[in-house]
Amino acid sequence: MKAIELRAQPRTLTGKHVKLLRRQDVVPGVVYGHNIDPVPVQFNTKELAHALKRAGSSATVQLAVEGTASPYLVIFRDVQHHPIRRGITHVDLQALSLTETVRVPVNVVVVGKSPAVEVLGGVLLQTLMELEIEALPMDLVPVIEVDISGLAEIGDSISVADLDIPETITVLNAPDATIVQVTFQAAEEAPTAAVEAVVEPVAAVVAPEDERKP
Amino acid sequence: MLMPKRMKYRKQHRGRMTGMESRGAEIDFGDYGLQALEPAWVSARQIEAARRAIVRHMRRRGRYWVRIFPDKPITSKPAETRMGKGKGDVEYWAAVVRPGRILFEIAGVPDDVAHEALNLAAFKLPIRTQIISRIEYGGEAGE
Repeated sequence: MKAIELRAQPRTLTGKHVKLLRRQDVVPGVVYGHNIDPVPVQFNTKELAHALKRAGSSATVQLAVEGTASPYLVIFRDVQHHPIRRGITHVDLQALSLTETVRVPVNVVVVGKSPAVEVLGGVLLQTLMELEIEALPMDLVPVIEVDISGLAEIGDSISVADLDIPETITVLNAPDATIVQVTFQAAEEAPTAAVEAVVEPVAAVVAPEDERKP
Repeated sequence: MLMPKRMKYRKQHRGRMTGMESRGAEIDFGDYGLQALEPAWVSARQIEAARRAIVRHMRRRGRYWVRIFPDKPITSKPAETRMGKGKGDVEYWAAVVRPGRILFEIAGVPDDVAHEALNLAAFKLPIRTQIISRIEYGGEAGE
């Protein structure tokens, strides 16, 4: 896989002053890692978003910081968003050593079509959105694909142990953890019933002031 | 309707709803979410009405999550009562919602069904909201 490249500039503004950067379409960030001092950096928003879309939280990125001799090999360790506008407000990048393993979360992507959903009308529920893996930096992958075309019956599921993962990657999740499952449509009534069941005895305990009296 | 099982103190001060929500502001369970854009007390009745709107539209398909809980007792005095004589009785329970809070999440239904269900739920709420989907990074390289 071709290395993902990203450019950054050293950052002098810190603390609350980084608001000024965000107004200029610049995202503040920091690079840290084993045996290196933290380096405050800043990115062009579009370039950062592009690299982030490709790399996710688990693929390595070649980060070239202006004024430094060699690029850092990094992963996106944390991405902060504005709660409403949803733009990127800050990123943490972890510099990696080629000889040390690293633990990262990897997004799980569902591919293919399940006969149980297409033909039998089941509901596909993805219960694990990401897996925790440990690997050397060069063995990291952006996503782990789960092929659901083998889910032929309602009730079928795919667990971590069923995945075809290269030997260079260690998955830290429990092998019996379910990733995707096809369930009955009617089974989805259960949460509603559960809510009612929990609430009603409560109402009996605290209810006297609940009903509005004109 | 939702309400706490037991409370340490029966009545609370009104409090303030300044700023934006920093927790509970990202989609954590489903694929689509309804996000608050204004601060408000959302009553248990409103939460239940919105929840029913979602359930009815989804017709048992998919799954939904209610991400807020009405744990604040709201008191009021009876009509035509003179001031004084202590704080009023608890009338209803409300969730304190600040801008950014994810109110409901949905998964396991097609895009159009999820949007319509959340749109119907939004009509039951006293605030402006927006429908958002999960942010996912990674895997767009294709190399």
